Amino acid sequence: MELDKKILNRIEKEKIAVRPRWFFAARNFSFGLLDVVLLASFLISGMIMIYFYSNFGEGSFLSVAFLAWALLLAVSLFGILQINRKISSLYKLRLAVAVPILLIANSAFGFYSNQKGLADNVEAKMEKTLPAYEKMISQDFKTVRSAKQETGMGKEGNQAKSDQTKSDQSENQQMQQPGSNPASGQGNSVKNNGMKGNQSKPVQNNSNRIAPKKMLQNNSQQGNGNGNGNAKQITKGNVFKMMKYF
Amino acid sequence: MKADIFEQKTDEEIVEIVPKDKEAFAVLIRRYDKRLFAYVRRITGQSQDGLEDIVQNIFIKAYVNIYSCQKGKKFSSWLYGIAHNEAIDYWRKNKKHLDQASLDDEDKNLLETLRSEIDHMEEILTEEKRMEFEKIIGELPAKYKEVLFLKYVEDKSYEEISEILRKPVSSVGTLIRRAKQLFKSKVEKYGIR
Repeated sequence: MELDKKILNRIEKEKIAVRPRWFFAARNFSFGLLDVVLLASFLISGMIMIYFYSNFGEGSFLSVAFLAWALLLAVSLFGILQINRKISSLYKLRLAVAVPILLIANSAFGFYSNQKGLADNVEAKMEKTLPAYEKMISQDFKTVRSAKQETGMGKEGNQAKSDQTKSDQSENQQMQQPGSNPASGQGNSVKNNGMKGNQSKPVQNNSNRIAPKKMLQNNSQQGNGNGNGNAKQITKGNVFKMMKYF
Repeated sequence: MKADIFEQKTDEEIVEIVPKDKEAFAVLIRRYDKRLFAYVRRITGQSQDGLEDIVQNIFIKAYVNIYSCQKGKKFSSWLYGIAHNEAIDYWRKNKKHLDQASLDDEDKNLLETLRSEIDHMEEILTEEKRMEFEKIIGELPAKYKEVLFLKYVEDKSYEEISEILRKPVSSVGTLIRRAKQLFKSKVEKYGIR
């Protein structure tokens, strides 16, 4: 028997039917929806990673929360590439082109939303609405607190707060003086304060959020003389959220 | 009678009729069965008996999903896309048990084209040399054999191959270039010029 007859017989026998148009429409819609969700998580995770870095410096790279966001970013990027290779013409782009384009777009969105304060809101909402995330942040906080106790900061909490206020005031004064630029002139200070790329905002509008780093800096300067050792450890141990608890 | 009318229509026109009339699908099967046999055989290395099951499955999948063949796109590229996925799936599951299939007439065309493309050798092959060339083509990895087949036997454009394999056009070009280089190096290695 010829192949065409065999196949038609099989279609008849097994009652194989053509899938209706709505099936493909629904499938495309589901893939599109999944694509939008993945794109949103890709953009949000990138935005928050940039928020952590621009507010808290390199130390944030080792925090659990940062790594969780990085994982989400990688997974959503992978998902976006896989889905779009199937349902759209993204397969026409090489991975070496598509991935950098997506990452650059993500970074641009991240920096823009950080400037607009969107990242701050999203991050705060995440903590409120997701208990697991809050727990993760608290875990980070424990690390910070133990590091704080090691360095003796716990005993001097109030003193440190007033130091920080003074420090803020003097920094504001410095910024107001013509020709003075606390950021550009003092590399270490900038790094430790975690004010890269977002210098004026934390000082002026959100000064309590960068307090811990200033405290660490003050403490390390007072306690160690050289001002490097313990401050570095604490920064690595995490964590950006410490300010909320001090 | 009906079949004669369908025969005069293009693939894309027949695709529109298939959901209403199964007979139209038989025309598409007749148009593509031999080409799909050769294509699947080239990828899987499967013998004739096993091949028929794979080709039947390809046509059944094409029938079931006929509405996903978008307007404005070539039916042949869409069908080869299904064939590619089916053949690769089969090859992955059975690669340990598959033997290298000997070349058929279509493959011999590929061999001639490759020789003239790569080495500009115009003289007629002796049977002994042909066997050696066949062996070399058989030794090429499946991904290279596939692009060479699509390019030189099926005469597909880079864009069509890109659509079938879901790879960028530049990657298709790279694959073809590497396949030709590998073929040439093997020809030199075996000293069959």
